[in-house]
Amino acid sequence: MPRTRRSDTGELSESDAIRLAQQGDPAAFERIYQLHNRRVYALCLRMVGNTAEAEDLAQEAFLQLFRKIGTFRGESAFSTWLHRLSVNVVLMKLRKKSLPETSLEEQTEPDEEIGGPRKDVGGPDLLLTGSVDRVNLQRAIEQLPPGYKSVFVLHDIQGYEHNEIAQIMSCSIGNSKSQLHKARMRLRELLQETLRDQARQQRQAARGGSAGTD
Amino acid sequence: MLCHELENMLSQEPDGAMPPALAEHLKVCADCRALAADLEAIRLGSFDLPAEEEPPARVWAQIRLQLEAEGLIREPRFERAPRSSAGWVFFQRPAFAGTILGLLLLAAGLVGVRGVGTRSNLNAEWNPAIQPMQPEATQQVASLDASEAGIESLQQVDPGVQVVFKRDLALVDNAISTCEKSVREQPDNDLAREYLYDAYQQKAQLLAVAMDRGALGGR
Repeated sequence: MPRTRRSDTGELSESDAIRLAQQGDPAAFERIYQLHNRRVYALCLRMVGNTAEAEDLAQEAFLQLFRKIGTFRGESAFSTWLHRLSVNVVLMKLRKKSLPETSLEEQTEPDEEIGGPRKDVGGPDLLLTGSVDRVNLQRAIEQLPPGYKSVFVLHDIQGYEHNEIAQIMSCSIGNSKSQLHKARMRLRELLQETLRDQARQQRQAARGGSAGTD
Repeated sequence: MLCHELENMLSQEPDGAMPPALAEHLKVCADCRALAADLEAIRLGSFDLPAEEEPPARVWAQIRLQLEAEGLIREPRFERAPRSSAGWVFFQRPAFAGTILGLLLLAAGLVGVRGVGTRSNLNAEWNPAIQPMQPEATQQVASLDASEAGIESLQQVDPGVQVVFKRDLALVDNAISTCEKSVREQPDNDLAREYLYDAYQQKAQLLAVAMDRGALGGR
């Protein structure tokens, strides 16, 4: 008769799993992974836009978590701690790829002013209402600077509150709200460009394929 | 002026309630109305993007492999022999248990000193020049031989049980042999010695059960 092992990982509570994982229990590691892998993977996928990189990033996030789990003392929620690790892993990756990065302290992108409503990017005749489909929105999100993207994904997609995002991103609540607004404003611009491009292609198609140089 | 105030409000409270003055402004300003509507469409559109996605199974497989490689997972290697009935019998006969345990400790100690070979040729390989064998140890080794031989007496009680015990004994002896080989090859490997000690314990428990069921009265 084999020595009793923890065979049913589904019975472990998160707190028990953390305690046992700190002792090296393999079932506990797996239980923690089961509890959080979907949200971590989704976060990575939204941030980088492709599955291969998202897998690598999720893997790295969990490895960092498990290496450091012995230091977790419960001062913050475990999920918050994990998401902070995950966001840092993603931002490090994006930094290495030399994408333009906006720190959370940066007010605006270069040459961009956020003042009154953007009258020059289209007014009422280019309303997004009813035109924000999933594919276009995901593509637009991928074009956001990492700082904006992190806050948008955490708040609007994963449902974190601003106080939680502040802990994850090590910023103020006011900064989180400001970045969220800027992210949405930038997405508005990107989506309106997409709508204009699609409208142009439709006009060209209607003229019988005389597309080419305009 | 109210257009600018709307922008400030949205920056500070992206999802906050609209003050009455700004709500009135939206009724008369098409650009601000379009802005508010677009931002709301983006917010609602994000609901279609799932907050959770299932990663492929290979992600966990890779994590698991890496954790094992880094020694962060401590997986038990050996499956221990049943303790329930054998263990209870073992402790019901303290004198016999003491003899067997003493023998195990002796054998483990011998392994620690010399990394000797199989238990069956323990006596033959013992070299008094290295460490003289104590008379009581000699007696204990002889006791284990007798215990093994005592299994033959089971045939008088239950032939079927003897077959089972002989099979289990062969398995345990095979495990001991493997462990002794490991200790010989890696004399400084504490884990190998621990496994060997565990194997000896399993044999002791098995013999205890055999003795209890057999004709021998147990020593």
